[in-house]
Amino acid sequence: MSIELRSITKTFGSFTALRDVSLKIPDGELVALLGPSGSGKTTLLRIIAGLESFDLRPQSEILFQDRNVAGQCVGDRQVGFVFQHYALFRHLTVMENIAFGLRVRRSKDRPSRSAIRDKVRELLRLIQLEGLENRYPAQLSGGQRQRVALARALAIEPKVLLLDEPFGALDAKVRQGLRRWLRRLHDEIHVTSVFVTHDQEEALELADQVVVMNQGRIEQVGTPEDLFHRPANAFVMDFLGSVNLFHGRIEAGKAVFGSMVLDSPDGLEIDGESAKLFVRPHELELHTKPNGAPSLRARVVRIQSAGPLVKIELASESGQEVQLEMSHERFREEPVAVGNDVFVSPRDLRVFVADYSI
Amino acid sequence: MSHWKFKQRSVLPGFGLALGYTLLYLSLIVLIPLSALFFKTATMTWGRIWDTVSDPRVVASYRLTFGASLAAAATNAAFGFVVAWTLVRHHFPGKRLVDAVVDLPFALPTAVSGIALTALYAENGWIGRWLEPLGIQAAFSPLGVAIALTFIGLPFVVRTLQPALEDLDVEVEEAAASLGASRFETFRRIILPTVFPALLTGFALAFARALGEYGSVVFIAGNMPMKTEITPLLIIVKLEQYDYAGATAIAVVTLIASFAILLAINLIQWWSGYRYRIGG
Repeated sequence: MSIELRSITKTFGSFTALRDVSLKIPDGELVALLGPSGSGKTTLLRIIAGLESFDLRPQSEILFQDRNVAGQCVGDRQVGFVFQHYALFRHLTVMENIAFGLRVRRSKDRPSRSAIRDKVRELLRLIQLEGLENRYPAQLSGGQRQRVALARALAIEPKVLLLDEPFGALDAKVRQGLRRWLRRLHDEIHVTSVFVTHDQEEALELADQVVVMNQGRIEQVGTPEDLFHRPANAFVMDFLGSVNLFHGRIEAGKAVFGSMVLDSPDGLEIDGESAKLFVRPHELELHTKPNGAPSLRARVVRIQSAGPLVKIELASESGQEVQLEMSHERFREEPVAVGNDVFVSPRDLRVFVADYSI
Repeated sequence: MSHWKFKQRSVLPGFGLALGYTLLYLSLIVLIPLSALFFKTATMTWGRIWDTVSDPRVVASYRLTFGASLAAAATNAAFGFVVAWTLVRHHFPGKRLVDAVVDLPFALPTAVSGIALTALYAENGWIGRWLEPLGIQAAFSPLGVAIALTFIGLPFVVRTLQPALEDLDVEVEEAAASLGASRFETFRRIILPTVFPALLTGFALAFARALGEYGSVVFIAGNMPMKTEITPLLIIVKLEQYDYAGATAIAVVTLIASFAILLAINLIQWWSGYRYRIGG
């Protein structure tokens, strides 16, 4: 089922959590709401679920498959909601937890006892916890609890699955495994899913579409590739992975960053305007001699080669810290040592006129 | 139970000292005075003990004391729950004041509350005069005893339930709502079972307090033999007649009965709570 939000605003007293947010989520997609804490992503998710109300304005609407559900309460929207801290019923067994949504139905809609048991069995198989149906939540690990919470949400056959930082409370290893498992699960059951995360890696790895949020607004919506390679603005660029920031000015159609002069991108021709250059660590090239390309002089401060990439920390002429990453092959071709003077040139350029500060 | 050890190795020092102190303190404050009861009782012959404790007037008092205490504790469990719920979940002007009022039965000298209740519920009292035409005699009846015991037991239920209700995870209720449960279903299947151990503790405390209550009851009860005499009153009566052994004999019966009931409640509580606390 597709979801559409139309100009949703939410204020808590004098604090505006969401400012006129509009968003379309196509049927069957796995969408990430990504942003720093306080960006409004969880509020948006809770509004979709019906756990939170939004400011009443005539143009505000929430559509589930072209049907306005703004007036419906959470129980009638047929959404499965998974909480960050699982919110399992601790006095009920795994089986009773999963069966809860079916057992509380009015008697005319309630499946028979054997149908409920079959459904629970099926879900236990899906979450790979067969044999644990009589355990209590306290007897499960964090990852197992979150899978039970997911099965409980899926038991009511929701039209939409909403997950609030589903892996936030788990340790890194478990998180990785569960993340891949959720992606496979989604490919299997194809229910429209929205999850909230502040972890860009998680969003990029898992989602079909990523919605980047900041201060109650949507900054950009796109596929992970789109966002990573074509960020709409400085915030998105900065939020998706580590990035080097250089401050400079636009002068005579050129962007000047200290000793490095670059052709200014289109639309940045106003003289005197300050400019910002964002370059990801892996988009910087390192040379021991100048090779004609615009470059910055820098000195090697630290080399960290344990890992898939060699990470080099440099200090530029102006004393600014620069992060650079290169392959081990490239490092062997042109080895450098701590204290060497080198030349750094960006391979890929993204210059944003300054209005955003890190 | 071969793995059961009396003393477990622990990084916290002073286990021996702490346990020794606990036992000494409990002995001095609780066990020695209570064992004196048994010793005093033991000065009587078995026949005399039996005659004392099975005297029809005494038996009638057991029935009233345990019955009214049970009724009072049950009433408090129900209405105390509502009070605790209101205080925890709702915000209203004067909430702190209401919260303080809950403790008044603790603070008031029991004789004061007894006299106040009697004045209210007597035939010409503020409340009694409305009950009288309905044929309900509140003061000087078993009902009056239950009213006084409800009054003094209320704080126990409210104060034990409050922390449990505060600990309730709002997300758990939201989860139940998102799964389609109505408010009533959520209350019945999620909230009540979660706070049940605390409710039971409050019930047990209110019940135990009511069993031993004397001051607030004697005024409103009227103390008619076979009808409205409570067991603590009969103990006082025996003491006033210098029948110390007789008084302790009755006390021992109440003590054993109370202990048995409290133990049973604790067992229920343990049974209802242990399953989901393992490892939690």
